[in-house]
Amino acid sequence: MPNGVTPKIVDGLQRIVGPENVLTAQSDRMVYECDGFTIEKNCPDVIVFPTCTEHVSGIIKLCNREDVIFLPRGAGTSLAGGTLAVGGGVMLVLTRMKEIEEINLRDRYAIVQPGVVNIWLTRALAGTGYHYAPDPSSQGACTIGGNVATNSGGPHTLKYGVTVNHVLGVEAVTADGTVIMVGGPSGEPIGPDLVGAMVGSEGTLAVVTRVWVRLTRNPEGTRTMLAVFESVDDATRAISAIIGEGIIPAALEMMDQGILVALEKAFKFGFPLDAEAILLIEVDGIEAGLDAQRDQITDICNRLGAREVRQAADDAERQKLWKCRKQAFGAIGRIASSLVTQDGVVPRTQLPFIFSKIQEISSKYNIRIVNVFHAGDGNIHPVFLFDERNENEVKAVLEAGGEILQACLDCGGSVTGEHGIGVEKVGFMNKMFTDGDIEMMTRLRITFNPDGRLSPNKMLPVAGACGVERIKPSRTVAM
Amino acid sequence: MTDLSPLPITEVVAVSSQDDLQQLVQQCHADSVSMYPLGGQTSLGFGVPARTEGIGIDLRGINQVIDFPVRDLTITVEAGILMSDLNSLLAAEGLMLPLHVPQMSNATLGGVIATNTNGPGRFGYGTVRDYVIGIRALSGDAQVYNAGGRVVKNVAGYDFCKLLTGSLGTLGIITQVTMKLKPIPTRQATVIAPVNDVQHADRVVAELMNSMVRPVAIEFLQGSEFTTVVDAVDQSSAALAIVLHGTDEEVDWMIGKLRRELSSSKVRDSHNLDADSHEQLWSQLCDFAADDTALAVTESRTVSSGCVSIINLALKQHPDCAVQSHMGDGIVTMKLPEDSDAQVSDLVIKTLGPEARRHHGHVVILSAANAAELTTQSVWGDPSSPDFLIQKLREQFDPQRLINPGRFVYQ
Ligand SMILES: Cc1cc2nc3c(=O)[nH]c(=O)nc-3n(C[C@H](O)[C@H](O)[C@H](O)COP(=O)(O)OP(=O)(O)OC[C@H]3O[C@@H](n4cnc5c(N)ncnc54)[C@H](O)[C@@H]3O)c2cc1C
Repeated sequence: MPNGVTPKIVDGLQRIVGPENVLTAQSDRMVYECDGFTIEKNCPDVIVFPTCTEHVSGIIKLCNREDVIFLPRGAGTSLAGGTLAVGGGVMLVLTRMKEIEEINLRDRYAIVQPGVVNIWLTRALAGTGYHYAPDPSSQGACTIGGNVATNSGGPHTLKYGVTVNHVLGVEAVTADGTVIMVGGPSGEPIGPDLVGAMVGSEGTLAVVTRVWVRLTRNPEGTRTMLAVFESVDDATRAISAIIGEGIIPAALEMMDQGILVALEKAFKFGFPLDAEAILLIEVDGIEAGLDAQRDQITDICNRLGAREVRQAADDAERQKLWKCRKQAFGAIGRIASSLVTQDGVVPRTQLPFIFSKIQEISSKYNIRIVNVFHAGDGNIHPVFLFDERNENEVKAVLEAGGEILQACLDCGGSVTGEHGIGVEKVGFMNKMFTDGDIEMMTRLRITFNPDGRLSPNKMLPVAGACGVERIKPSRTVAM
Repeated sequence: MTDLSPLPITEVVAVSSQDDLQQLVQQCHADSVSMYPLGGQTSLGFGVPARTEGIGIDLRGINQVIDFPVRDLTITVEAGILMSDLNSLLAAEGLMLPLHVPQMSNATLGGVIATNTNGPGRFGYGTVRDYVIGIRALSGDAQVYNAGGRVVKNVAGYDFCKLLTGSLGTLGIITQVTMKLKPIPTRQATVIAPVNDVQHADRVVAELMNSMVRPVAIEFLQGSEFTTVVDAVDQSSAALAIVLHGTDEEVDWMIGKLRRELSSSKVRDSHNLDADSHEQLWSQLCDFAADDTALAVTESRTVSSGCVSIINLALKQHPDCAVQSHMGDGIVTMKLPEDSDAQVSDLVIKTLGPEARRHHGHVVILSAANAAELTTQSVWGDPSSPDFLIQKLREQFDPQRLINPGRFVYQ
C-alpha cells in the first residue's frame, strides 16, 4: 500500500518546481478530479506543473523515495478516464511545458514539448506548405503529449495514419526518474521499436517530456463531397464498396439523421433532414488525379443508391462542413440532457452488420442512439442520448454500450479505436486478449514501471486490484 | 544449400505448425538450449558472430494464410511465408504490401519484421511500423502472446506489433501477423536525373521535398554496377532515380512537372526509363544491399540533409565503393567491393559513425565477409537507444536469453 501525500512531500515538490507550480487547495484540485470521462471522479492529493524535463525527473524521484503514486495529465480530454487519479497521489500536469522547440522543414520534423496543444503546431506551420497530420476532433484543446500517450486518430488519419505513424522519437522519464531518449529526427534506432511501443501506452510506461514529430507535405488540392442516402444501410454499403475497390480517401465520415438534425439546429448548414445518412468524403493529392477519384467515388455512391452526391462549392463551404463534423458532439449536447459515446472498431466490410446491430440494440433497450463514424477505418462512435436522472435509462445505456462492443469483438474488431482503455474499458481486456497476452503486457509494464507507482490501475486488469465499478454514465461529449 | 556458418548451429529443426514450434521452444526452455530462428536465411551474418551453440529452427513451414478478407484490405498470415509468395497472393487481388525488401524470394515476412528491413519505397509508403496491425509471438519461455488485431485502427493494449519490429528475435519468435494492405497503383515510372556531384544531388533533393510531385522513392546512385541500366551512372558519375506511382494521369503530370523542375535545378538530360528498364532498376534498387560478393555493406541512417556529407566521406575514403542512398529518408548504403582494402570496423567506428552522429544518426554493418573483424561497437555503431531498458525487456521476454544469444547489442 503506497503512502499518502504528506506536507513534507508538498514541500519537496515546491522546492523542485517553485511554489507557483504546485496546487494543494481542495478547490483547485477539484478541476483535476476527472477528464472527459466523467463517470468516475477522484481528486489527486497534489497537482504539480513541471516546466522542464529535470523537474519531471526530480518529481518522479521524490515520489519513489516517498513511496507515493503519481500520474501524468495533458489537457484532460481523455474519454476513457486515462487521467483519473485512482488512489489519489501526485498528478503531473504537463501543460506548462508548451514550447515548439524547433521546426525543420528540410528534414521534415518538429520538436515539441508535451504540453503543446495539437492545433498550435498546425498554426505554427501555416504557410510553410507542411502540416502535422493527426487531427483529433479535440485538436483545439488536447496536447501532443496526450496524443502520443493515447495514439490519437482523427478524420484525416484514414489516409495519413494515426499518431504513431508520425512520431519519430520521444524523450521520456521512466517510473524511476531516469531520462531516456528513444528514436530521434532520423527515426530509425537500432533494435526494437520502443518509440512505437511507447506511443499509445496511456501514460503507464513513462512520462513523455519531448516529442519529435514528422511533418507532412500539404496536398496540392482537395475535393470534398457530400453523399446523401435514403437509408443508412446503403450508406454503410457504399463505405465498404469504396474501400473494397481500393480507394482510400483522405477522410470518409458518416453522420446519421439524428446527428444531422442536431447539426442543422446548431449551424444551419442546409443538410437534407429527411435523409437517413450522409457521407462526408474528402480526397486529396495532386490536382491531376482528383477529378477522376471524385468521379469514381460518385459512381460508387450512385450505384449504391445515393440520392445526391455533391461537391463542396468552395473552400468556405468545405471549412464549414468540417466545422460541423468536428463539433457534432457539441451540437448533440443541445438536444439531449445526457449523452455518452462509445468507441469501437469493426473490419470495414462489417459496417452494415454493426449498424443494424446498433439499431437492434437501440430498440431492445429503448435508448436513442445517433451515429457519427470515422467510417473509412471502421471506427464507430454510437452516441447514446438519455436522461442521467433516470436510473433505469442509465443502466440500459451501460448494458447497451457493452453489447455493442461485444458485437464489435464478435465480428473481428476492437473495443477501442482511439479513445483508449484507461479505466473505462479495463473490463474488456480479458474479452479481447488471452491471459497469456495480458501476462506479457504486464511484463512490458514491469520493465518500465516495476513498482507500479506510475498510473496504477489503468489499461491492464490487475489481479487482486478492485476494478472501478461502473454505476452511472454522464455527459461524455466526444469524438 | 544455404551456408549456416555465421551461426554455431548444431542441428536444424524444421517446424510445420505453430503448435510444433511451441512444443519445441518449451523443450529448449526446459533444457536451456539456445535457439536460432531461421527464416529465409538472408540475414544470418547480421550482428556480431554468435558463439553459443544451439539449434536452428527453420520457420518456413509455418506459412499458412489464415484470413484474407480482400475487401477489408488486410491479410493474416503465418510469419514463415516467403515475401515473394505473399506478394503474388496479394497481386492476384490487385493489392500489395509496399515493403520492397531485398531477396523477396528467400526472405520471410517474420524475418523482415524482426530485422525491420525496409526498401527504397519507404519515402512514399513508410516502413514496417506502418503496416503491421496484429501480431502473435512466442517468448523465450514458450508463452504465446498476441497484440493488436485484424482492424486497421486499434488502441487496445500495449502494441507488441511495434515492440517486435526490429527486435531481431530477442523478444520472441514471431509466428503470425496481420498486415494492412494498399492497392497496386496502375502506373509506375522512373525519371533519371544525372547530377554533377553529391552537393548537386542534395540541392535537387531539397527542392524536390517542396515540390508538388510526390515521389515514392528518391535514390542517389553511384557505382559501376548501375551502368547496365542507367548509363548516366558509373564509378565516377552519379544520378538520382526518382520513382513515381499513381494513375496514368497523375504519373504523366508528375513526369512533366518534375522534368521542368529538374531543368531549373540545372539538371541536364533528365529522362524517363522505359517500362522494362524501370522494372530492372527497381529490383536492383531493392536488392542492392544484399550482395554476398561484397567485402562489406554498411548503412548509415541520419536526417535527410546528412546524406551529402556521409556520401562524400564514403566516396573520398573508398572511391571504389558503390553507393545507393534513399536521400529523402537519410539512408546511405555503401558497398565495398570484394578486393577493397578497407578496414571495415575502423571505417565505421572512426569515420562514418562520428559523421552520422553529427546528423542525429548512426551506422550499422549489414554484412561483412570477414566477420571475425567485427565487434559489438563496430556492428552497432554507438547505439543511443536506452540499452539498459532493452536488456531488461530481454530479461522479461526471454529470461534465459536463449533466442539468438550474443548476436545483438543487448545480449
Ligand atoms: C470533444 C472531444 C473530441 C475528441 N476527438 C478525438 C478524436 O477525434 N480522436 C481521438 O483519438 N481522440 C479524441 N478525443 C479524445 C482525447 O482528446 C485524446 O485522447 C487526446 O489525445 C488526449 O489528449 P490530452 O492532452 O487531453 O490528454 P489527457 O486526457 O490529459 O491524457 C490522456 C492520457 O495520456 C496520458 N498522458 C498525458 N500526457 C502525457 C505525457 N506527457 N506523458 C505520458 N502520458 C501522458 C494521461 O495519463 C492519460 O492516460 C476527443 C475528446 C473530446 C473531449
